[in-house]
Amino acid sequence: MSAAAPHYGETAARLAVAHTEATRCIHCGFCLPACPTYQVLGLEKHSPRGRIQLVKAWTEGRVAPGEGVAEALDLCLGCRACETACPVDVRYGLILETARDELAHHRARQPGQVLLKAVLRHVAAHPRRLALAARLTARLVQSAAGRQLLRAAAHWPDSWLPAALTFARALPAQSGPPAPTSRPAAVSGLESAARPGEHNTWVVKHAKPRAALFTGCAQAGLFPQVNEATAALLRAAGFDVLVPAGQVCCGALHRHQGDPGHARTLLLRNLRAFGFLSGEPPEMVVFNAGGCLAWIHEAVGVFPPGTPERAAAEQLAARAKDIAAVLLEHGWTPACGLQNGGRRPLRVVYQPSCHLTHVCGVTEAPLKVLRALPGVAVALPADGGACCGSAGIYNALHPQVSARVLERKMAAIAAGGPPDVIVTSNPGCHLQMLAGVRQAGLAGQVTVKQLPEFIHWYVAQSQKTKSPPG
Amino acid sequence: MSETIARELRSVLGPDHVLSSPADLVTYGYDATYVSHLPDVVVFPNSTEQVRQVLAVARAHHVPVFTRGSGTGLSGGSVPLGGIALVMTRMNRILEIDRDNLLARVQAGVVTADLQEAVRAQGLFYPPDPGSARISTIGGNVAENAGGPRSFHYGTTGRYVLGLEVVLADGTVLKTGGKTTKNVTGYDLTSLFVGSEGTLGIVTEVTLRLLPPPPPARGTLVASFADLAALGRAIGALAAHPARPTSLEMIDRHCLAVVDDYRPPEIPAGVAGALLCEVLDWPEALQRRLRELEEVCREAGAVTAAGVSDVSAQRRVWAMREALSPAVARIKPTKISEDATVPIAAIPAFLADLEEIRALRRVNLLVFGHAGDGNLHPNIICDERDADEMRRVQAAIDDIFAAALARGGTLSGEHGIGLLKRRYMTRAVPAETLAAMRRLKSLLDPHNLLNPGKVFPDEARSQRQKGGRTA
Ligand SMILES: Cc1cc2nc3c(=O)[nH]c(=O)nc-3n(C[C@H](O)[C@H](O)[C@H](O)COP(=O)(O)OP(=O)(O)OC[C@H]3O[C@@H](n4cnc5c(N)ncnc54)[C@H](O)[C@@H]3O)c2cc1C
Ligand code: SF4
Ligand code: SF4
Repeated sequence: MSAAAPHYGETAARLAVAHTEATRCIHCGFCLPACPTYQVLGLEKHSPRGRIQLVKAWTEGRVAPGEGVAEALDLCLGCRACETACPVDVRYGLILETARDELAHHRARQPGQVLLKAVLRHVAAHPRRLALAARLTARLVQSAAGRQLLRAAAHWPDSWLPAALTFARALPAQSGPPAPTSRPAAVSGLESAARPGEHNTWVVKHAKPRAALFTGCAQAGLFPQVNEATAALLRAAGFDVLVPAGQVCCGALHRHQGDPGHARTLLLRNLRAFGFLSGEPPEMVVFNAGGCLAWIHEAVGVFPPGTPERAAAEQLAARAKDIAAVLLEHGWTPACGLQNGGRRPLRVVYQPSCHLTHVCGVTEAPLKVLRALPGVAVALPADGGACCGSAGIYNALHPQVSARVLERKMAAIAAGGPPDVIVTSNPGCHLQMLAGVRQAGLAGQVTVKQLPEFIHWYVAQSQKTKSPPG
Repeated sequence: MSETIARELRSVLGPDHVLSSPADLVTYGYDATYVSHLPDVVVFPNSTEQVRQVLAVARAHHVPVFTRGSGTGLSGGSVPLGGIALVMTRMNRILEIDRDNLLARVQAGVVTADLQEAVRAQGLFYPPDPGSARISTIGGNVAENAGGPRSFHYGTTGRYVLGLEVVLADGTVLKTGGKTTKNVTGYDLTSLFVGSEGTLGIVTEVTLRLLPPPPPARGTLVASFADLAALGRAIGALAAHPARPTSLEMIDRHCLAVVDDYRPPEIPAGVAGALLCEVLDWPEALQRRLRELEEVCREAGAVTAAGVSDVSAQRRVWAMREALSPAVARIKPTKISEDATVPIAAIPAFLADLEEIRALRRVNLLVFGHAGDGNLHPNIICDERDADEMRRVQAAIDDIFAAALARGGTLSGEHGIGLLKRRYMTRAVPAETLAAMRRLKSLLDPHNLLNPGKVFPDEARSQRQKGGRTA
């Protein structure tokens, strides 16, 4: 084993919290079947148990990052399925994130890391820039030169892969990404979403509080229609919907890629924008992206206890809700008077966001709201909803492994015959499912939508025809 | 280890299947115990022939070979002490499910639950149900003669092994047994390899006996007791009753406290222990049998006895039982699982011994296990970084084994001896018997290449374990 590096003591100190958590793991292996990377790669170091033991060994100076630890941690999807599977309640997320911060620290000067950080800070976190970048890259991928470049990029070592370029792999190629809407993307789109008469769509049972909508970065940049649909559903359910100006990317991507400083900056801006630091905060903040919601729930710890920021972050976390859970909790039912007309039900497979499942614990609500729609048959994928391989920007950073995870995923989705619609609950998953549908040769046959978008569309369609679409 | 050996292994298996990066060595150095030690190289054969070739390299260079399934073992059996870690997980093909003859032929690296599932899909049943079934391999199950709750009725893995393909240290590929359930054609070599913990040969293929599915109705009897004496009496009475259940599991109050969040309503808070029994029967007969068994428990002094037939209520009970083994580690990071087994009439006395040891040694000792088989799992939850506590733990372990042996029991019911229990072997096994085991070992593996340092108390390499983080 390598001798401990000179700065090893500092590393060990920074990793202390991960080490303590890692010692709680009893290597029972119960997490192995839940781990998508272990399932496709078949090696212990790509399993939760292996990664935890590697972080422990690293902290104890028995192995160095360059000796395979970094690779093992890089290839983790961060899906957190292992936490749900772990009977000891080992907090793997804490171990992973602490270790990734330390890796980022070691790599701070590597060109790949610098570029990645820059892309995340200056492009990915900004809806309009992201949408523009997406359009440009999609155009680039379609050009001969671009394809050649991408092929070359596939051979560069993973840590060096410029995320900006390979991101194009994840984009819906034929259709191209949706054009960005003018002026704060989501907000302007939302104005038009509030059409009169929309309230007729839903039966409202109780008086509703105010709901602020969190619009996100990728969601607002690439799938503005999902935000529009979310707002429409909330309005139709009787909420007063506000879309605070000045809100920004939630910072989850930065957090998970070892840039906690920027994640904290973004959180601070959001706390301000939503009125949690001053002014009057909304009773609830509604999220339609599982990844963002999970991070807001976990982000509390970036501020020291006892500070006003901490209190504000805690309040935001307590009021941050998933759209499906909100709809369910407020007792809505679709009031579209649908008749099935003897047609076969629309087959929907719900592919949940991992963080919505494993971090937020929201598993039943999305299924329940989908099942409340008449004429829809809802199923989970045969694997019960394991990670699709999107995992933030994993698909861009590790295209080969991501593609193998995706291949298994698509087989699980199509196990009972390809569905009509795949419904997801996160923009990253949405992109990945679009790629999966293409990869599986199902383009044109299977549609992909996010949950609010699907419900909104389904109800609107059936309103028009008085029977379910399909 | 020299680069020559790694090169030879690579030429046999291909470069992707011979790993020696520090990260790979660390992650193939542990099993589910607290001991670990690094191998020199990790190999992943894909066929019997490749296993043979790896052994040829090992023989040529006198390098020991440590076979590993999924590393869920609870005795350190697959922990490599240097040498070659030979991992069977790529050999995971189900070769045949023969419905007409009620048997399956599988490679040794098949995950137990995958086999259970494949067999179920064909309308058949593979009974052994170790708690680790979703992870463990059939090879590991054979090598440890793994049991599970249902062993009470159905027996352990060994009862289902009809035949084996085994690669011996000298490269001979043995085929033992066959496709028949009865077979007295010469010595029963199949049984010799069952429970041999990777020390006599490397199992590459297993022919397994299957059963038709059990009767479709499932019920669960949940009984709780105010004292362990009554609980012990109930175990004996249930085991001897004509309506006896398929499984007979016990958990004590210390366990119940740990998994309180799983505690089903059938078990009141504050009891000394509980019994959980599965009953499989025909729908018409199920209720009658559950009532019968409730009565048996009440007569033995149970505070509550409830036959549950609601599916989700039963699921809740068994979820608690499944979570228990690992969940006890929530309290403290180090979990030492013992596997002492006593004749069932000795259970009440043995439980009393354990309570005494807990108090005397001041250790966090909890007990659950397959009570119907007399197979208890006294678990000690501790912190390996606390030297004082670990001394008391060691003393408690010594006491546990002494008590089990004094009660006419044995060291291990299903987890094997491996590294952790070697030192008690001389006390547990008569000298002549141990000598006969050694002669067998040196006959089949004269150069001590296969899993050296395991099972026997004073192997030549036993010194090496001091170099690693071993017990
Ligand atoms: C939470 C938990 C619950 C458990 N519950 C049970 C239970 O209910 N009942 C039970 O009996 N056990 C139980 N176990 C213990 C363990 O799962 C079993 O011993 C299992 O059979 C080990 O299988 P494995 O594939 O993980 O083998 P490993 O741990 O990898 O190896 C175990 C032994 O088998 C040998 N071996 C493995 N494969 C081969 C082969 N192909 N040829 C020759 N030797 C081989 C190894 O050298 C080693 O000595 C449990 C373990 C855990 C962690
Ligand atoms: S399930 Fe939990 S305790 Fe078991 S190996 Fe995985 S992380 Fe460790
Ligand atoms: S987070 Fe997901 S990919 Fe990473 S170790 Fe856990 S289960 Fe595996």
